[in-house]
Amino acid sequence: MAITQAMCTSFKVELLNGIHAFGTTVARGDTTADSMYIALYTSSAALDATTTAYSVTNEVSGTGYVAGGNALTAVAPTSSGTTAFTDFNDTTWSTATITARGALIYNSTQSDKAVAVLDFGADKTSTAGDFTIVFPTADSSNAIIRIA
Amino acid sequence: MIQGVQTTFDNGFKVDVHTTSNRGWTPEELADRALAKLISVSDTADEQVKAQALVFKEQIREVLVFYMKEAIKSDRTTVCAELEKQGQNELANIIRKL
Repeated sequence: MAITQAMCTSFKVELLNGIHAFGTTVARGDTTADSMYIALYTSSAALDATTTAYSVTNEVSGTGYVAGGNALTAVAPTSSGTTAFTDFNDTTWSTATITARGALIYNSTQSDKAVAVLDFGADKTSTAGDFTIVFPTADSSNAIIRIA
Repeated sequence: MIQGVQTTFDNGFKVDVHTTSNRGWTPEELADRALAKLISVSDTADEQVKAQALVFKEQIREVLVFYMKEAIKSDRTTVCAELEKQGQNELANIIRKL
């Protein structure tokens, strides 16, 4: 017999599934997953770890882009080894003429609360074409949301 | 005293942004994106295993590209049929020739 101190892997997955609430929580009307969105921003935007919610300030505008961005399709939370993770399917703005420097993933079901800020490293432009965000492989080493 | 257990959210995530101008994605470009999610070959893998994996990856790529092209052709057939039903024969012809 042995006892090894650890944060339980199942707990990490359950955090991603919203099972545990250590503080005041929201009353959920149903049991479906929340709707996650991704909005694009120009290089004038100020987004970082202190960002708390989606805002239209310095959001991208242009042909093929609607304020609020695209709905994301999430990969069901799971684990590999002791890392819990979830990810999203790639998303595309079609026939779009836009330029973006970064993006915000946010939870539209929970008052547009912020999830993650993405920095593209440079301005990215599509001209009457497709603007696609390619999410990393959904595994314990690469997935966009990982709890190790 | 009981020590806390540290668990971390990894900030090392990275997305790629791909864009096009005056066109959409080609089946070849989409196949490459799909393959990147389906098959990864480690740089440190045994040379023979690596070679086999790369051959397999190329075979899958060919199949993906073929069926994506079939899907495009089939979708255009549906679109053209719908346009002809609406009396838009000229537009249907333009789409057929793409």
